[in-house]
Amino acid sequence: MSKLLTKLPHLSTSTIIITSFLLRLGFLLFGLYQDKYMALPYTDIDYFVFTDASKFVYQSLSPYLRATYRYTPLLSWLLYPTALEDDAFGLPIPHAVWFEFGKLVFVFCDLITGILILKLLKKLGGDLRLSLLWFWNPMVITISTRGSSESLMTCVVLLMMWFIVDNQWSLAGIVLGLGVHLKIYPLIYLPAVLLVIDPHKVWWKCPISLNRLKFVGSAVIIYSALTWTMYSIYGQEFLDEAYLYHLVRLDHRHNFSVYNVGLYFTSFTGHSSLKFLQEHYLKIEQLAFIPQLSLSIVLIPLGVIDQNSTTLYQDLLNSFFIQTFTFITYNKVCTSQYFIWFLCLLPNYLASTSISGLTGLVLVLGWVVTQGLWLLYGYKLEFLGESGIFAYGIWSSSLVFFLWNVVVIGSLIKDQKQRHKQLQQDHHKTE
Amino acid sequence: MDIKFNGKAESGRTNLNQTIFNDFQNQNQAGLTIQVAPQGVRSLEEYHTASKEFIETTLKTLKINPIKEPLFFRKEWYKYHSFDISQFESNDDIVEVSLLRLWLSLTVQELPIHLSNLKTLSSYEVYLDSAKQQVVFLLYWDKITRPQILDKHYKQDIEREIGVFQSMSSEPWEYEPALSGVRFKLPLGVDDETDVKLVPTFLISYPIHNTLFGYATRHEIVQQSSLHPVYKVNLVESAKSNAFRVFKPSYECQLRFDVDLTVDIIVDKYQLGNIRNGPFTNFSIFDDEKMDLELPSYRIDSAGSSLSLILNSTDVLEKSGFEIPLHYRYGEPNSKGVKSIGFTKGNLYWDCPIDEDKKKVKVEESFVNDRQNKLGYERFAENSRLFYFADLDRSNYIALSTPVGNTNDMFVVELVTLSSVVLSLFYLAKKLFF
Repeated sequence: MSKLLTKLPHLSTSTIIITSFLLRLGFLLFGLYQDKYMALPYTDIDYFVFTDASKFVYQSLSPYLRATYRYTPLLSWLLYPTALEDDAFGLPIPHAVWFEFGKLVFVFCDLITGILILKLLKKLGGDLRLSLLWFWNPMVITISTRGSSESLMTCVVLLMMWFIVDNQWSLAGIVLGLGVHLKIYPLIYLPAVLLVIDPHKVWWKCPISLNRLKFVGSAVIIYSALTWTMYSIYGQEFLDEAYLYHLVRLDHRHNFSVYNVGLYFTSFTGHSSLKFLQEHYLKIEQLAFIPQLSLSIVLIPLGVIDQNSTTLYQDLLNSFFIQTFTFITYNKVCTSQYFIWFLCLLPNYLASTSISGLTGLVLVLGWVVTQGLWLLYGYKLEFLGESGIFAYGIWSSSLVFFLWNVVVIGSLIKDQKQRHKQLQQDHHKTE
Repeated sequence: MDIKFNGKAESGRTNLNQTIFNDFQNQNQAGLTIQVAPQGVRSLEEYHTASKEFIETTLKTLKINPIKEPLFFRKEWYKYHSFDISQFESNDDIVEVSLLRLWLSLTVQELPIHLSNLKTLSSYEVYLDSAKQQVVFLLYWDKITRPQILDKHYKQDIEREIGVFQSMSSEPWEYEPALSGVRFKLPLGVDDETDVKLVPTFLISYPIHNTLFGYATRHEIVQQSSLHPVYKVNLVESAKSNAFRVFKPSYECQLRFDVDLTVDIIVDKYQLGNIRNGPFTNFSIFDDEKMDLELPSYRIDSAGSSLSLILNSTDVLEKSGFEIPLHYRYGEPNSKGVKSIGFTKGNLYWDCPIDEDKKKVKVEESFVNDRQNKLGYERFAENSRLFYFADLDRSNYIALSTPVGNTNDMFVVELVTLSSVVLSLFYLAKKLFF
């Protein structure tokens, strides 16, 4: 991929940012046109969830009055202007324009993510043209201009990464605390970050250091402060909807996850069909956290980050990428929106990869094809109502997608191993 | 109330034993003879009042005005009254209208006479021939010796109920037939000695539920096999003549649609709310818990939901109907992989407000619902009158089916999923550390 991108002419940072902004503006305007004149709406259904919640906030009510709003109230506060009426504050702006404010926020975060990718590439010595994988990626542009809030998370994660690279541990912790408050998943990065803070203090010998305490402490303080504030305003409902729901959710619709059909069955029967699980009153979904968290939080950072490495921050970024990919692969719910979480880390990962163009192409194609297979069966079920398709259709294609993702993760891990080996060899040579 | 038949016969006319209404011009007693002996009242005074009111009402029903005051005859518990038809301004109309009404009520058929002949009809007689099991009409014209005889035979015993009502409505298309009057049955073997009981009847001149004429609906499901079907209600013209095709009963009416849905089917209120420039001006959904679109049907603790729409009637008429997007929840897995579901068709109707003045008039003008409000009129007082669009199809249920998981596959799915996850964990751990 890097080799393909090197064939592109060098573009200045301002050119990249301006063209990206214009692209996003174009998509936004087209989206407005599509919403108004075409049968299939452009705007994401989730955007209506956010803005409806903001309307309730505008009326000094709880955002959780909006069914299926399962986020922190902070998001509905951020999108408060979308609820403003015509000529609010004496400004000649109609409500229809205020309504699009949220998309502008997400596009802004999308661009900030791209700028942070550029800065990290510069800092860590990567080809700046790799940032085009984010800036000019139609999938990325579509997601933010449709009103999906994922660019908020990518912005937060990369900002945290930037502060880490700049050795600003407290600020990194603050951003992590904010990120975990917004969505739980950035918590998986915490152990990996601890490995790169004061790396000379090997974690199993000397786990605690001042800088590590700064990082963890600031994360805990900010997370607690935000969560406590929301709890004091909205009560138990906030905890139930923003956090606890995600532990018991039954999303077996629109879901790539290998667990989805199994969840559907066990949600009906109330128990597993496997005797050894039945005997212990266990269900597969209760055990799903074990491989997911053990891999994404513990094993991958330990296997990928070499505390003696001279490219520690690159290791960290690479670890983030593999951790995120793994977390999503093993999650009980897997939707296309989640792919943005690792896509924002891809340009920086590719800056140091040794995966060949051909191998990369095969991995990407396989990933796309297996997704396409699931989408085909998903379409057959949702829009053609074909029966007999749950197991040998939806589930089997999600299994194939899962297994291919495991192959991808394996390739990424192998890539990092080879990279470390190469670095060691280069280090020995210089010595 | 009792009624006695007045079987007066003149030469050249049929000997009538069972005449109900006798409009003979040459009897010098043209008009109706009604003898009423009201019963079921509590005092003589009430009898007097009730019978007087009954006669007045009956005459009004046939649009005949009395020329004599009712008499309290022979000190019996009845009233006798007759009138002279020649005194009226429109005696021709009286004859033809009363004939038409009687004919229709007894035979439920079109009167086989040309309109021009009907208008020149001078008199008629009606009698029941119980032996032959037929009802006979004898129609007389001036200067024509022989009457035209129209008869209808009944296979079964003749027992027909006739109602004589006063209608407040003067226009044929009005939906408010305020009716007060009497009903009576005509049993077999009616003769001079037979008493026919008259039952005072008040048809509430305030029907809440009406059927709209001229338009009807046809319900269908579009994209039936998908998990996101569309419920389409088509508006069709059911009257051939434009004169009878009235889409909106009155200016203030609101077009509404109500449908009850089972727990297997969802209407997304947010999706409905986002349909711009559509047929819905407002709607409400009643369900027992928050709308969780993701939960399967067996995880919902309610019987379902109800959708009530207020429609843009102009849009509905223009597009000859409207559509409602529906969604199926995932249903209970079973061994067949398919689940039968369905729901009762919704009702499309006009909701028209009724003002208090109109209600009051109807009550006051009814002779049956007197001042003591015996029938408890207030039971029927509503703020709305509803005019329903009839459904052209006989069935009132929409049957559907949806794919569900097959329980026979559960074991394989779980086993292979668990094995794959566990093996992948070992695979990746090996990649990481070995």
